[in-house]
Amino acid sequence: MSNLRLALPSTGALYEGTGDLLSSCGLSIHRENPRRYTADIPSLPGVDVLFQRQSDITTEIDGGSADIGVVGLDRYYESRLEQGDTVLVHSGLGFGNSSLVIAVPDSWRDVATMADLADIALEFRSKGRDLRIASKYPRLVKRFLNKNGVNYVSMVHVSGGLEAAPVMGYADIIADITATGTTLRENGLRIIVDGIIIESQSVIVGNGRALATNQKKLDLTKQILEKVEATQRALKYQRITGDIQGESEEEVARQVVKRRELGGLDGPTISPVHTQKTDNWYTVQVLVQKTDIAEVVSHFRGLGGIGITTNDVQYIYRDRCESYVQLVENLKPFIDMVG
Amino acid sequence: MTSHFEPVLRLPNMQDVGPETLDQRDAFIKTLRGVLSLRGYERAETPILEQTELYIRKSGGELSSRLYDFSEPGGMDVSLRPEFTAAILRKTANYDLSSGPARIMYDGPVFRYASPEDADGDKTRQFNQFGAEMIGAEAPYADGEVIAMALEGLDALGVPDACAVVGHVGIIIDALNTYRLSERAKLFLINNINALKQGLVESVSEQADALGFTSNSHVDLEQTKADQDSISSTIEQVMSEGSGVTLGQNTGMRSREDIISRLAKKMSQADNPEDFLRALDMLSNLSQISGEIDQALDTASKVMSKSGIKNNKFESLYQVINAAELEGVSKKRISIDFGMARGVAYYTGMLFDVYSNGDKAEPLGGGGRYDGLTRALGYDKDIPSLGFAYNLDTVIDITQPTAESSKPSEIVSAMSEGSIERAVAKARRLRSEGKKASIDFANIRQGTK
Repeated sequence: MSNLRLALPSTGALYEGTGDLLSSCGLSIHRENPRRYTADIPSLPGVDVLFQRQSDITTEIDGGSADIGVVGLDRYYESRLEQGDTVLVHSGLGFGNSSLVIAVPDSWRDVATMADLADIALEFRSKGRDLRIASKYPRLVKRFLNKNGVNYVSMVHVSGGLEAAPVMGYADIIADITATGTTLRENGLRIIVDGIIIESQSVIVGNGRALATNQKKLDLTKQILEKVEATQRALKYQRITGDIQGESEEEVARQVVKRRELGGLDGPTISPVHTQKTDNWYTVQVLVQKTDIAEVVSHFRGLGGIGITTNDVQYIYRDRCESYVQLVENLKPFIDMVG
Repeated sequence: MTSHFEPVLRLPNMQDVGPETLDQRDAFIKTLRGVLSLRGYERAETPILEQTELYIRKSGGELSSRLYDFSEPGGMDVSLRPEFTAAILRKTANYDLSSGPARIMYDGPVFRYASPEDADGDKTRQFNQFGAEMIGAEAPYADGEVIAMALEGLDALGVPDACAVVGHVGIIIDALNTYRLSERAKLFLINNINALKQGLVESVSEQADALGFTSNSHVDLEQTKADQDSISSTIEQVMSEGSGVTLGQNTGMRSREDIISRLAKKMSQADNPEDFLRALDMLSNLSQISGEIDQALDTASKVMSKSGIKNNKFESLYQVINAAELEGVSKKRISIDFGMARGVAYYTGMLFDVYSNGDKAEPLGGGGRYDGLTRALGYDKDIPSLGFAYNLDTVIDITQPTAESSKPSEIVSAMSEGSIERAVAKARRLRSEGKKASIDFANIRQGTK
């Protein structure tokens, strides 16, 4: 049976982010050497990793030459075919956060909003020109401009660095992806205040038809999703342990859950400490959000707690894998299709 | 042998249509033409394909982002029509209207794209309109005629309890005019009526903040009063003295002068944040008023006077409703909605939607007055005009099939007739009697000569 072909971005922030994420999930990629465009995941046999240009990944998956892949949500929306085979497999991996924005030369001091830009487009039109906008996202950008009443525009397709286009003179304004806005600023460009086209982050997309019809591929995808989800959840939590004195387990439990929000993800685990002392001591463990740690420590102290320690956890599995349940839902049209 | 190719699927949110619906649609169109022709409306047809420019000029952002636009083989930028009004106006703008308004009716498919992420992303992207325009007619009697006619049409189609919800964008604009706002601010407010109607005043307010309507940061009031020239020279002076507001190296295709003069113009028109917030408050209250005529007008009067607006234009709405009553429409069938707005900027007066059974889920059609459209389309005059259109597909969806279900045709079988020659002869005889006859070619046996 054929392997699951996993397409990953070959360069840039998403390349590094994906590598880091997979390592933290225990799914480290093994690449013979950095020039090779294929790799595998030793801890998950049956997966072929293919490094590809991010802008090609959605199309490759839609065409069936890869099964699942990591892309920016912006790229997915720009490249997908509406009736195509690509479906969203995981809706947010938590890295590659960025926005697709409209930016104008900073010298255009009179242009702050999209309404201003609509004015400028008309001004250009009255002089017999169109406002030229350079972007690698023609579909998303054109609709956004139209929605904001900026109608007289022509799209300039640029493959290299967009930021230079206004200075070089082959476009008037640009629409580009930015994480912090620094590069835009350094190139004398300013983001329009209401010019944010889409907020993006990395996602997993997949070929719905391939996943719906090949159980092995679906199972491997599920294993990846399980690990990603459990890792992402675990990042938010820590296990906190402390010894608390009390009459009985029940009594200690009652004290601990008095602050319900500090009672942990599934309530406290309590076990007796076997000491020489005459009074009863119990070890209390709760899994709590990292942001609550300080609160929990002071809550434990308030109950006379000693020996309080915290640990990171690697995975937290819940009763079901949310993103897999969602994927199965997204695959239904393909299952209906093949009968 | 299996084909190398997969079958080509229908485009998403497009429909194939069968005989029942087609018969029903034909019957509806025939009925509607009858109703409208009694009032002197004449048919017209315009191309499905027009220059994109026609629709860009007409619509605000709402419609232009829904255009199916592309480059045709001759190199022109063209669009499938998203509606008829602009094309009908193009056709009639140069008519001689001295002997009365032009009354025109039309029907056919229109095309509007909606992406899966849009609120109406599952809507059919090609649907059929039947509509009418009256070019060269002032309010209020023409408005009464159009509302009455829209209801008459639905009555004639057997739509139960057809009713109209009427709004008036002229009243809103007039009320906003009392606040001395810039065109930009007024447009922003009108474009957000729908959100305000839903009570989303906070999010509209946040957006207004982001767009600088509510902050004084641009310029103080003294400067606002200064005329453009003096602001312009101030800007130039500040820039030449280099106190941090340099224009930067690259201004692209725009000259330094372009930028400074537009900036000066913007500053001199900067909105007073207090005025803007008061207008926002008034509009937020006004837009939520809807319901029975007298009660709605009463509540609206209170909102207006509380906001310090002495002269409201409610009279023009009254006149329209009275004109509709004159045409035989009971006032019970009309309600008012001050929060009614369309995503297009050229409507100037009355607006309305028609519904069945008080079911406000989806309008069966709608229309309004657009006195400013001819100028927007590039003609050097305003022609007072109005119109409406039904979404025929929605009307068909909510009505019981009434079209005569056509009798099935008789099947003449070659086998049972003994030969194909006999079967054809029998079928021809039946057809000559006006009966439907179709031949079953299975098991054909050539006749014995």
